Amino acid sequence: MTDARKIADRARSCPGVAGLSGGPFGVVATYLPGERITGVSVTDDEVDIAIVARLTEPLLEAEPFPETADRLRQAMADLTGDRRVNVRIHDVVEEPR
Amino acid sequence: MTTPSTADPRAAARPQVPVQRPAPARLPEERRGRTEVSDRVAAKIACRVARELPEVLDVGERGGLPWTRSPGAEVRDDHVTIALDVVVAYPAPLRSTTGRIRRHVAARVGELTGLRVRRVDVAVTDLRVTP
Repeated sequence: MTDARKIADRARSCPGVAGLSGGPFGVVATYLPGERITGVSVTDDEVDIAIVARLTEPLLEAEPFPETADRLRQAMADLTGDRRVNVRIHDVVEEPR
Repeated sequence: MTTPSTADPRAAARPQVPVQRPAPARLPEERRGRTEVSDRVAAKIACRVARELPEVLDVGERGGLPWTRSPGAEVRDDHVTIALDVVVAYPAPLRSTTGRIRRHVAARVGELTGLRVRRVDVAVTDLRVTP
């Protein structure tokens, strides 16, 4: 189950992602021996990712969320395989570019 | 003798059983899965884009009890309803101003979140004279 850790790292490196979040009540997480990976949960046919999205300034040029999510799915396609990737945008931060 | 038509009309009328239908095209990997946006995110973006208009001086999310931070937006499936409290510059005609706020917020929130905006409730809570 090092998959979850790799997926988390891959997600964090996407430009539209400010960080990972546990989702509502912190339910999106993977428990590994001695470690808890917040924001990613992997089952046989689904991967859930809860992120804090980043809105770039100026907002007029910000990337819409559907594109952020598509980019995220694309970035981790080799790790997720045939599983559906559900992206939950749990919070958003505004950052100057 | 009749000329053979290009397509047998009876063939078109014949119902197709599921096994004859072409298999659904496999989606590219970036399309597989749901994308969800939380209430909080929709509310934050609604407040933020409302401030883009010059006649809007301040925006707050509406509702709830004073000690709770209740969302100014509610997301259900792929649509969202938004409620905002706005402070408007004084000599602005309220009806047309709120209409403009509503259209602007609906368009920008829809664009940024990919959700369909069902309704935008705008309450003018104060008028302020700008120097």
